[in-house]
Amino acid sequence: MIHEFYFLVSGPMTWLGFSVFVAGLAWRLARYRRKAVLANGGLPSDFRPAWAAASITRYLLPLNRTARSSPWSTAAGFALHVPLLTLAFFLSAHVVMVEQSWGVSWPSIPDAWADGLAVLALLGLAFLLGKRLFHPALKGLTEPKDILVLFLVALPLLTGLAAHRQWGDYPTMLTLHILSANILLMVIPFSKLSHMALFFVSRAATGSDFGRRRVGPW
Amino acid sequence: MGQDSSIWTVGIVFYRRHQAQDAVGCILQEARTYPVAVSLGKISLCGPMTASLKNFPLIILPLCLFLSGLLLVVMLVSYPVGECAAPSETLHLADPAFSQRQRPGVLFTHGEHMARTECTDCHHVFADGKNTWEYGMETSCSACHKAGDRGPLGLRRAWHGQCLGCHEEQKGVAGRAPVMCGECHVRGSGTDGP
Repeated sequence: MIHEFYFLVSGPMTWLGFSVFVAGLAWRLARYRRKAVLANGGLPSDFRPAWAAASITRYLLPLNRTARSSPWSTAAGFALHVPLLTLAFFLSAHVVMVEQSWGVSWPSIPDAWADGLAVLALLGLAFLLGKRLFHPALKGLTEPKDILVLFLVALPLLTGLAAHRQWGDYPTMLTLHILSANILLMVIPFSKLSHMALFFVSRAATGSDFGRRRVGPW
Repeated sequence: MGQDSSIWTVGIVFYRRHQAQDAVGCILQEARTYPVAVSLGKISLCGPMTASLKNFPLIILPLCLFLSGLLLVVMLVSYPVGECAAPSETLHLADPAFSQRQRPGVLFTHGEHMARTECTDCHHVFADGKNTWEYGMETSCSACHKAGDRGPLGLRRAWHGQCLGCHEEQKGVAGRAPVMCGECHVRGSGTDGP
């Protein structure tokens, strides 16, 4: 029974998940552009690509002003994002799945790193959850959906860790892992997780704007 | 090897000294060299043996060597050459060509597979597009497929393709074949590896 479900989530549902993810993010990017055009009556003619690139770079390496004013949140953010993306793209099990399905392959991280990376990402999430719940200013801005997305990110990490260590009933755990990852993929474009794509355009716009005002790339 | 390591195993490992450092995982080679010993189920050739070797009283080694040699001779004589002596028991597949093993080796029920498929469904040597493999020929995947090769015929893809290629077609049948990573690479199964 669980195996039929496994074939369903690892086959058709994964195709659906990635399709919704890609199409959804493309739609969000197109919508962003459309709204920007509507608001300004066209795209800004004095867009500063160098300033945009500088600002994006400063946020990808923690060299921005927010990193200096909120070092703990920045650390938690990196502790979440770096392991999460490293695991998603370079865990040997993920690489082998692609290798077997599509015949393309790339190097993977040593399996011994995987558990530590997953725990690090979960600790980062726990910090962000704590901040959402207890930080005086952020608490007032927090809605239930903000807590929900943190859980949706935590689920594939937790089930992935358990499946990798083979805790509990392995077939069920792995099936839940793929299911939760597919749900996450489909939620990303329609939630704040869309920052996965929109960060780059909003940061580029802000960087360009700051460049025009000569206030530094931040 | 655990507590159940037999005197014969140690003798054989000593005899095949060049493999003693990494006796783990060369089961296919062992099976080829000692097909009778494996098929009789008297000798377990699985598991890391180096530790048991270190602590073994040296004086017993020549005796082991002699007795295991004697046993082999008896077995080989009692089984006529040419009769099918493929291993019918569970083999520990952990190809030593994977120098940095990421997952535990696989306990492979060779006997059960013999009942379901032909030898040449898995064992193969292709010549002019035809599988010319016969009993007694090469059985080690890493003899041809290389661990460093990331292409379609690399060792990892060859292994996974060989197992999953059939297993994925069995979906929905009773007693369905394993297809998930950890169904074959089982942690804490008494095999080596992480």
